Amino acid sequence: MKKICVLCVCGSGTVTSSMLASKLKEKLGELGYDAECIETNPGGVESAMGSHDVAFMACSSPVPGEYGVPKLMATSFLIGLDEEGFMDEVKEILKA
Amino acid sequence: MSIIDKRHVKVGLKADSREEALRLAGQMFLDTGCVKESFIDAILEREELYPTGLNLKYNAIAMPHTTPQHVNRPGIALVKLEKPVVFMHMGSTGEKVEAEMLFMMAITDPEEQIHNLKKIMTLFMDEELVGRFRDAASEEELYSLGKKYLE
Repeated sequence: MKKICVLCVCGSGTVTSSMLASKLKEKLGELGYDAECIETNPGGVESAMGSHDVAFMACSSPVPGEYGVPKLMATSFLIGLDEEGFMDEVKEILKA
Repeated sequence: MSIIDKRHVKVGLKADSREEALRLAGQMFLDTGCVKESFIDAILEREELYPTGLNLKYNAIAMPHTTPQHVNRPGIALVKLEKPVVFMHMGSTGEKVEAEMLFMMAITDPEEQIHNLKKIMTLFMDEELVGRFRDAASEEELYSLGKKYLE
């Protein structure tokens, strides 16, 4: 399986990011990726970006600043309203 | 210790604002020693910065929570509001949420509790189950549903 690293960002870096990480790991697994999902809050993005080769961010809260990787709003993915649309965006990023 | 505790279940909670709803719901956790004194202020502060309202497919809810340092042991409070209270939508899109129910969470270790969290997410997307939670007319009924589907 191809390795990939994703940053999951939510307000406190605890609950929502864990849910996101778990769900994203599962969905990326279905696409043949062995995903490492790092959970953090907006304040922790900078150090996480510095220490990992992140492919993209999945966020349930706004993340200020530009880090040179795509930021995807993941709220509707998380609650199951738009899983397909979100995963389509992810596939586009992974193709590049 | 089970995640769903009868003392953390309330049907018909009267609140005129989200602050009042959060204080009253948080007080249930405080009364049983589930959370620390700092929990309510932390919940209020976090809700303003990082809102937890969700307009779901079949209903509107909020799932207020905060970091583990304010929590003694894990729990999920199930609260049906007497009338909807306005929350902001998660992700800060500026979208308003007329929340009918609160799933307030006391989380100590998200890794350990991911199983329960996943159950909540699955529940939200099931029209029939959402309907059963919405129709719960008593605390006994809501508690039984919580036990059955969230533990």
